Amino acid sequence: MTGPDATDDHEEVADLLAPWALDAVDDLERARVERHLRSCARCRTDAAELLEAAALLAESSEPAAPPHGLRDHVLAAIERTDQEPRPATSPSRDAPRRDRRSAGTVRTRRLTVVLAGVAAVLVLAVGATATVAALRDRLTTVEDDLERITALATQDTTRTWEASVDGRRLRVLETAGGEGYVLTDGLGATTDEAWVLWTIADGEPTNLGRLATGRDATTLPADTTTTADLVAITLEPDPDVPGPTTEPVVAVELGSVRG
Amino acid sequence: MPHDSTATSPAAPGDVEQRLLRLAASGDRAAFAELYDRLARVVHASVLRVVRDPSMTEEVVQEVFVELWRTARRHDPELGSVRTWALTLAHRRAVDRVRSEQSLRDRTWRAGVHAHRVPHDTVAEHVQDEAERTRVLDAVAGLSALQRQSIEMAYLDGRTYREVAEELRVPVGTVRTRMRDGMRALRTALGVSR
Repeated sequence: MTGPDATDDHEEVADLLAPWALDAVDDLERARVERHLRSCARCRTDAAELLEAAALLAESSEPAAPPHGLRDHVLAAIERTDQEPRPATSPSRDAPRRDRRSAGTVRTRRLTVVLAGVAAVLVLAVGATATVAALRDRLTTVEDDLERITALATQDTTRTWEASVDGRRLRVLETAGGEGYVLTDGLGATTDEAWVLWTIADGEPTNLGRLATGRDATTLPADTTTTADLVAITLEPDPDVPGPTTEPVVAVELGSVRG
Repeated sequence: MPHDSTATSPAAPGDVEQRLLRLAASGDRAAFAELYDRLARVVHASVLRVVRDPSMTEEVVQEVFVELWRTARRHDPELGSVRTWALTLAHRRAVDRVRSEQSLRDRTWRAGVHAHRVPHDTVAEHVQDEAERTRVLDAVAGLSALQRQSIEMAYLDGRTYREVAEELRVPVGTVRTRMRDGMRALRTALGVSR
């Protein structure tokens, strides 16, 4: 691969912009569109206009005042929430893009699948983005993550742990740099409960947050793979509980190195 | 752009929201609360319309506002209003939620009960919203049937264009084109061309 794939992709992505603005694309298409937007000024302009049109549709909703308690919940939640830093004044969108695939070919189909899933999930994980500017900033992060995980999947994995129960799969990967990742798969849809990821270190649980149904990927806090004893998933009625209230549906002991 | 502190003439709503977000970006929680008061209603209504379940809607709306707060410093006013940003965020979260819940819920049934669950108590308070709503509904009604169908199935039901194509038994390319033309027609009808 030589040259930026952005230009090769233009016609097809331009065609996806309207469905994208309506959130009518799948995760992979969403990732693809947002990747392209980073390097294509023409599509960014179109995208901004289409988002504006989509927002107009929201204005046609039947009026429905939010419950009064919600305001307090929101204000309490932001008390606990740090703000992300201002983006760098000149994002690298105009700089020549590196060909990410030249660093090492993804060797197996399994890894390709993992990466595709991770790419999609990372886009979700970095959140819903609204303005194209926000997208651009976010994409830098996504691509950085992708690059890290590409490296990880091709050459850099030092240890992996894996468990699967009733089709629910939990994998923990550790890179040479000591970074840990969790990949999950096969978590079914839930109604009033959420899948929650935990680590247990010295008998102390840490809530690492909700996992998406289907495939998901999570970056572990620093040193988790060397300090934690267990990584587990439970189904919780309240995803914010400090400690698990139900038995793990699947768990891996980080002592038991597989490969 | 430090020209906002001495503004005396009545500012457009978009300017006020922009200013509030800028204050919020510097950590001003009171400004954020005011922004919440201005946007919560339309955000909540738009999420409810897609998600349909009131308690799930509440969760999504909270996520949207926390996200707005978290990323307040990253909003670029050149590329869209704060309101557009909030509504885009809201819709995406709503669709994500609907898709993740989809296999467990009979969405047709939910559509049926939806009308009985929407609270109507404070409609009269927001005449201005209502005028805007009518304007948009008129514009939507002015689309061709095929454009309207494609857009509504995607926007309201959280379906992908592929699912829409399957349901309507038309090629996926046709659905994408209808969506694009419909969105452009909406912009034109509502006079937001640049």
